[in-house]
Amino acid sequence: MAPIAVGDVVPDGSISFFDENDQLQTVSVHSLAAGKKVILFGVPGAFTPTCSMQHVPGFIEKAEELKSKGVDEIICFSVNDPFVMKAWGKTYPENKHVKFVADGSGEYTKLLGLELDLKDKGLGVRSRRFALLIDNLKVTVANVESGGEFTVSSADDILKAL
Amino acid sequence: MAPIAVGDVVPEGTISFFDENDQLQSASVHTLAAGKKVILFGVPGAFTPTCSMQHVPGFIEKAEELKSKGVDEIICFSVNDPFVMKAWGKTYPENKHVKFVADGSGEYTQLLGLELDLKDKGLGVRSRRFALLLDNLKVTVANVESGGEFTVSSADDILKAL
Repeated sequence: MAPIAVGDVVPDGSISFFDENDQLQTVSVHSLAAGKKVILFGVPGAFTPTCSMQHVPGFIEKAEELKSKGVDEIICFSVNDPFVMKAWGKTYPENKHVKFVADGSGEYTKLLGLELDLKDKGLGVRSRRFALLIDNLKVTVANVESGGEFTVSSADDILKAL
Repeated sequence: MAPIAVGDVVPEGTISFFDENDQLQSASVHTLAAGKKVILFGVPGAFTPTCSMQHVPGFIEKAEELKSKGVDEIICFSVNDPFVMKAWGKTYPENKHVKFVADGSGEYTQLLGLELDLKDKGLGVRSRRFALLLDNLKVTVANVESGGEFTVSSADDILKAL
């Protein structure tokens, strides 16, 4: 699949997460994002350094500002299972708005065309680092790294585009 | 591959982990276990309930007792990446002896013949719950669950066999 780009309709597919009642939910991306302004940002791996210490904290800090500019949801996405995403989310007690969701099988990452082969690092096939702004399912901003580097996909970069 | 059994030589393969200096190590199982008495216990998933609240704590509590009976190493194993295993290990600050290692690609689990299909739970293919006692690479005790249940694979079960 070609990588997701500005102008595309975001593909439909399933992601999963534990809700506020600790129940496992599997939902369609379209039902989460229809009619809303959503930031979907992807990281190569939960508990990895750049993801944990730079990418996620940036979105947690800027969440209020992003919401004040009309963003309805900020979703953090990785090819990890929902138990791991829940545990990782809990390491940010200050977090009020960012949701941590799992693409456990890597299938949604494939639909986005954003696979990153990290097999020789013992991580299997993961997602490239990215941040998308989606307006009623249409991609209006697509900041995609070529791999795991952190140059265009921060919260500040999305803020500039809003 | 047929499931590992008593009398087998444990297969050779690679697992990975972060050492005391936070360096990523890939080690061969044979190098880790040759000439030693080793407990290798496997769990379906880091941060999952039974694994986190029963299986692992059992081995942490009984570690001194197991060591006093001649066990050299106690190794906790899962199909998760080494970053996740490191983070999970850190949730047990009281742990002195149990090492948390990663079979990131699931390949070693296949060599053991202990795969568990958890794709419909969003976890992909994982390991069955198990506990093996290895004596200089030979399997002397093989307590293997059929899936993720927790009936024969505890630290107490291994203690009884020592």
